[in-house]
Amino acid sequence: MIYYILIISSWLSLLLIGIYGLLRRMSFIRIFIALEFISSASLATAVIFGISYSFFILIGLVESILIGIFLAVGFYVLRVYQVEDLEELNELRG
Amino acid sequence: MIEEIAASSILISLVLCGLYTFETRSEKRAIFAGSLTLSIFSFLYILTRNYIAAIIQFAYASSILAVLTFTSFELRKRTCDKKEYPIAASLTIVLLMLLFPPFIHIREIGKPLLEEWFSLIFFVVISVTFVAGLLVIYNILLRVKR
Repeated sequence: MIYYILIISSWLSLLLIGIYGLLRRMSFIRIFIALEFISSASLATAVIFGISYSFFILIGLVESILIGIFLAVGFYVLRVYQVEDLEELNELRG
Repeated sequence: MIEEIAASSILISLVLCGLYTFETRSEKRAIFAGSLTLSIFSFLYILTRNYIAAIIQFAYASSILAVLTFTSFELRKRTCDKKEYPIAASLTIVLLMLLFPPFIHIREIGKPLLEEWFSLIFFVVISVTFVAGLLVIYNILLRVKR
């Protein structure tokens, strides 16, 4: 029983740390890492509920593509505005 | 008892590494700690005997480390204006994610990958992405050489 509580706590803590990271910093790289934490936690949910590996790969693939698009768009915006990070971008807007 | 100790140590290290990722000021340390957190998370799959999921998760963490290092490096180079980099960055994620699972899948079920319709579509997607990714990376390398 304690074992399962620990497993679920690990999964939940990754999810919560991911959400905390999203709220905590206005840094492009850190937001990316936070999104990766949340996506890994969601993949773990799928494994806990016993899906097949085909769907596991499919979910991983979709998540990777979505995060890849986020990375590409963010990267492009930072490049267009000639800034190093989101904080600098906020200063420019302000 | 051993499993419980392992699970609790994974939980503690996961929380510490995860929090360190968002608390440190250094970007390099944040990238490393983030990847380490995801690697530690793969041990959770080993504990629950999902070995394939553990390998996929570990590959995922490694690919993230590579992509983030690459992105962080490129963001600091203000003079560079190559538009292909974002595409290459996103493709690298997909490529690194896709290179591992199909082969593991074959070994696991012990039959050819193409027997299932899903695997067939998956195989086509992998091939197209792989070729496209290689072309983009090759194109960038050529430009860098010039």
